[in-house]
Amino acid sequence: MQDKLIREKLNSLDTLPEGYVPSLDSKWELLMAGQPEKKKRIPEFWYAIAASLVLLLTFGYLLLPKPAKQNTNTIAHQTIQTKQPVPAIKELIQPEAKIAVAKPVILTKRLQKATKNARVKPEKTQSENVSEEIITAGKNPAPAIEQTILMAGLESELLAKEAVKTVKKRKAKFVEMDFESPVEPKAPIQNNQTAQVQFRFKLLPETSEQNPSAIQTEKPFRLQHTF
Amino acid sequence: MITFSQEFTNRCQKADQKAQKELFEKLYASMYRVCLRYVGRQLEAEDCVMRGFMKAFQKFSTFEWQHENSLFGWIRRIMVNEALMEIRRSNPMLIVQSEDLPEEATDENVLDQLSAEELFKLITELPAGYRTVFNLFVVEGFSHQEIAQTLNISESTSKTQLLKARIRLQMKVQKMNEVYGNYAG
Repeated sequence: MQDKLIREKLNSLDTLPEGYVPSLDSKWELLMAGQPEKKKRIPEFWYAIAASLVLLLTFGYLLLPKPAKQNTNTIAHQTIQTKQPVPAIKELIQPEAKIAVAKPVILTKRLQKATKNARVKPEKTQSENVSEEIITAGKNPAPAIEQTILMAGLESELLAKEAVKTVKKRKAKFVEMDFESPVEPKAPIQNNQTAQVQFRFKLLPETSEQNPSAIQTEKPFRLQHTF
Repeated sequence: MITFSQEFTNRCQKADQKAQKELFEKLYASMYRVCLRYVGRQLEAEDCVMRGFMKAFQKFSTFEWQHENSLFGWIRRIMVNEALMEIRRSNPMLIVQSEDLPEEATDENVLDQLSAEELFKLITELPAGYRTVFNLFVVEGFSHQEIAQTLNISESTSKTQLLKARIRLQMKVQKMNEVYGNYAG
């Protein structure tokens, strides 16, 4: 009996205690923020449709006859497919081809040193190993005239790229040369390769702002390579 | 007890935010009282109310409307469960083991003389173990067996805790009466 009275008294309390005035709006917003977002339920038949489409495409790809491939490869590619032995870089250049070579002079930042180096006598050497000279251009003499190196195949192209990269890495960015009496090549370079990749080295006059008069007298050249 | 119509309940079940907000605003005070009576502190009671409402809105689809009081009773049960969980979290040693109290209540009718607000305040001041057993037995109408299962204690412990809670409340009322008598005198 007493418990019933107590229960009724306590259950009749439907107001907030004195001094406690919460903001119901903010509490409602807090409640809504805490509610997880309702996931949109994707019907199962959509999954079935997607799966059947994937299966259809897979079987279609596997079972349909494939059209014959047209051979549109270039000569260079054909050489790769036939697995012809790619000649080494040394073999690519004919030993008969004599190329006028001038001794390169490395220009430094200081102009005095550059002018000294500009007075180097030409050195006529027979280039049997032009590719090696390209690779070690910082140390060895570089070709003096425009020289066309013929190479066949992809591997030789890559090797040549590597050679050019190593040349770049060297500090000899500008090569000064003397062309008072360049020697013309006696025999033309034979072009008997199927696929050709040409490398051209141009010698261009250098424009220096530090001492233009010295450059005009010595006629230095700047080596530029394009491929 | 606040009543709700079936149409209003259906709106709440269909996630009508306007109806749900109305329900929240109507029931907040009552549910806060329920939670505060169990946990005894304001902050914990607020947390319980919020968690209870969140759970109620999430599980609204499981509720079946039977009569106008059913929604109130359903949410109230959720709040009681949340409060009990909070008590378990904050009071792992729920039961008050030893206390020097008289073995029998002196005057059982002394609690009837209190107002609802005074009685509420006295209950919230009880130790957690006494308060929980008293609330479950007297207010919620649980049996000692149910209390023992709910709180994971023995039935005898539940009975002892309830007896001690009653004695503690009566003593407090007597003390209050003495103070008021002194002031009146």
